[in-house]
Amino acid sequence: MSETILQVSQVSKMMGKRLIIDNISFETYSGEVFGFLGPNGAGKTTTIKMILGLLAIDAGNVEICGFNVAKRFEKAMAQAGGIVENPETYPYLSGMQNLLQYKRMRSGVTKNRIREVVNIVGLENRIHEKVKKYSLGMRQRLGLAQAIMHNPKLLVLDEPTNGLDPAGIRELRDILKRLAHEEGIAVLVSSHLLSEMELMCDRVGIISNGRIIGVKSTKELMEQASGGRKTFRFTVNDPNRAVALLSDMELTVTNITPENFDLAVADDTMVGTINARLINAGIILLGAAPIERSLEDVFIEITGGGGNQIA
Amino acid sequence: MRKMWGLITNEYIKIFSRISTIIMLIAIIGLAVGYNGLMYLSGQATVYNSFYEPTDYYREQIQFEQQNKQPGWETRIEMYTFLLDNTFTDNDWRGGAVYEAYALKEIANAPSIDTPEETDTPDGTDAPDGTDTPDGTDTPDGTDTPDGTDAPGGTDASDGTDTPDETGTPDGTDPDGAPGAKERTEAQAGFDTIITAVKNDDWKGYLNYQIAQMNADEDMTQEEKDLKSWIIQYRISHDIRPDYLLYSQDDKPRDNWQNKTLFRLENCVSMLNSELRLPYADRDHKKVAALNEAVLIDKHRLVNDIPVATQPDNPEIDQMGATFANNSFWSIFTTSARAISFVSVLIIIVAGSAIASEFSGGTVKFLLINPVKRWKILVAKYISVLSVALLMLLVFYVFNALLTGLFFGFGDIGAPHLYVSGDTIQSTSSFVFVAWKYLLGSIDLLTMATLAFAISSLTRSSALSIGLGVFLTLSGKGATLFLGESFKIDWARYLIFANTNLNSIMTRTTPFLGQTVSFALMVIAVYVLVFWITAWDGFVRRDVK
Ligand SMILES: Nc1ncnc2c1ncn2[C@@H]1O[C@H](COP(=O)(O)OP(=O)(O)OP(=O)(O)O)[C@@H](O)[C@H]1O
Ligand SMILES: [Mg+2]
Repeated sequence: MSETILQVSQVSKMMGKRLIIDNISFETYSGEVFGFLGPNGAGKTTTIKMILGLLAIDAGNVEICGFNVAKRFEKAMAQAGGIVENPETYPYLSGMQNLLQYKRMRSGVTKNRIREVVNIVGLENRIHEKVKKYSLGMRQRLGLAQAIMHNPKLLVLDEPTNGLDPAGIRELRDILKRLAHEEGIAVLVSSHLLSEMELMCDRVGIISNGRIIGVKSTKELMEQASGGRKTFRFTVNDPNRAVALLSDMELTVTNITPENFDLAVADDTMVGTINARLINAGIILLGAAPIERSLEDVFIEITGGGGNQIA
Repeated sequence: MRKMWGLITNEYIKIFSRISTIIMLIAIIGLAVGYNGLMYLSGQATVYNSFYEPTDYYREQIQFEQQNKQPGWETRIEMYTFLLDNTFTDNDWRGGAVYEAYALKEIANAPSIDTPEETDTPDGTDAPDGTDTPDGTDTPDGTDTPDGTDAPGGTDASDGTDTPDETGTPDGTDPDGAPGAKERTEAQAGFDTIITAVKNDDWKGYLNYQIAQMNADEDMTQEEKDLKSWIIQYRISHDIRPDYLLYSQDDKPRDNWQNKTLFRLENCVSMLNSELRLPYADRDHKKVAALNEAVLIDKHRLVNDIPVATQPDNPEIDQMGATFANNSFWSIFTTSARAISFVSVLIIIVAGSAIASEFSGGTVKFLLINPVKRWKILVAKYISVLSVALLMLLVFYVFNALLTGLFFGFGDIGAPHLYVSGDTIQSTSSFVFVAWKYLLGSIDLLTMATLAFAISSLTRSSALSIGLGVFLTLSGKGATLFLGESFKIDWARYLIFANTNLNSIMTRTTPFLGQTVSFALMVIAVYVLVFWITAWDGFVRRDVK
């Protein structure tokens, strides 16, 4: 069912004398959200700019729906939409006039379709206002409307959650998931908000220092993170006593604070046992919840401690 | 193709939605108001003011002659007394004729012993041309004002400082010798004829006397004689007195257009003949051609009764007074193309931000990920900039026409434009003529817009391209002129600024000898190509970082 929409093959890019992108390859398929993760300066934006034809490709190929971006630019771009870095717009035009600018450059976009995408991104009440009155989140939404108005097969978003409020982030997540899972679009999303990626992406490619160091499904990645274990955070009235109480069990305690402690468990069923033991011992158990930071851990582990470290 | 139209539409929307574009339109209209207002005020400033009464002048001269008693003083006192008794108006033909007559009388009365002073005529000039009059107006073009600063007559003769080669009597007396008996009789006869004509206000008689004099003149070519007698015959047959023109009184009925044109024609003929007397190699052939053209057009107007017409630009001939009144609709509107360089400043702002603003606003990243090749966007941007430039010119043209009309009246608005094509006179609307001047001026404008466009693409900075573009436009021409005129640097002719002002190349007012329009167009083409390659490289080839 899933076909290859974006094929990045052995792409390299020099800037000045520096090799910014070093022979990276990956592909994205229809119907999936592909997360493009990496620390600051890893080369995410650079790669996205090459995919969308903003930067010349020094070596290798990028194909969108089988069309080489460098050689058959118009055909390739007809299948792609995106937002690169910040959602820049013409501030002196209204949101609608901004969208019409792009409509004139693309084929097959009707007025109805524009109304439809405005509804999808939830801007229908403000679309006729000048964009200079928009908030960053509203411009992000307008950018998304611009990116999807021509029903592209590939949607490329560079840090799309920038500037969105939590509700906006969830909305975006739902929109992207729906576009991928229901309309069969291949979505490529880069971001720093790793917990977000965990919730939205089907597969994740990790880039560091211009190299892809792994492409995995989100599930695989999570498993790698916990080494088959999951971490739960227990919020109790006396963490130290609780940890002492549990010392006979095969558990890894990772973090003790005055309010809580983290436990890595082999399987979820152990949590019930632990709860029972704590309550029996008279400890007040306020909560026990799985921790969402596993992907970040993996991420930092895989990329060698983040972007500060340049190899 | 439809997509290209979409791209151009996009650019128009962007240009016209920026608030600055509306300001620009207001600026153009303001420019038209300013231009006309300035012309109006400077016209007001040169209002004709007479400080000097001719009668006062005559009395002063009589007193002066009585005190100094330079040779011929009695004759001159007689002349001034005659003028006092007959107070002619400033421009009356008889004023000049009296001077001419008494110049002859002085010859007739001259003592037989040699005295260098004697050879001076009272007014020190060729009287028949009527170039000096008591009120000091230089009659044919009337550039002198009658404030007496250029007081003719008496002063020259009385102080005796004239060098002999400066003078000459109308009948060609040897300046170093006393007139012979034959000359004396002829001079006396001439005096009698002129004075009789003056007394009877018989200007036709006076003109006939001039024809006779002219026919006897051996220095004149037949062509010159033919033309001059054509002029005199026209006066006689159309009943046009040879009264002089006063510069600031052209609107008065007595200075009718035919008289004015006849004087202009006379001047053209004189200038033409002084050129033709030079050896062939020394002649200014373009001037000769221009004068011939002016003569043809003036005769055409006189024969066909065309009081007002615009004509091809011609610095030598325009000095002698245009065919329309000063500060009239056409005198202002035909020169309004000069103000186009201010419109260039505005269009440079549009051109300079066309590409750069996409980069500074970051919108280029959204512009260039569309399924449109970059060169198409570049072409669309260029076309939109050029057409907006032409639109601005059109707006400027229309508003200038309207405001010139409001300031100076719409009189003579239907005047034709006359020009010579081959051997025939062609006539078009003067509005078309001015439109052509604007179009010629637009070459300059469009070249500068292309330059700003190229800088915009090269530097991706609005401020730099606008700043540099405006700076080059405002200073480039002056600097090039300076190089050519003051330093005689000939290669400066290859600079773009030496070539964009086609109006001045056409009227031959550039410092570079032999500059032609086709050469200029070639140079412009080369520069525009270079600008284009620069723009192309910056926008189509380079990375968007
Ligand atoms: N215009 C440029 N000239 C030279 N080097 C550049 C340029 N733009 C980016 N780089 C370098 O390329 C590398 C990758 O940058 P890129 O913007 O692709 O990173 P990124 O992964 O998008 O980072 P971030 O998360 O901060 O957006 C960085 O080391 C950066 O310094
Ligand atoms: Mg980035």
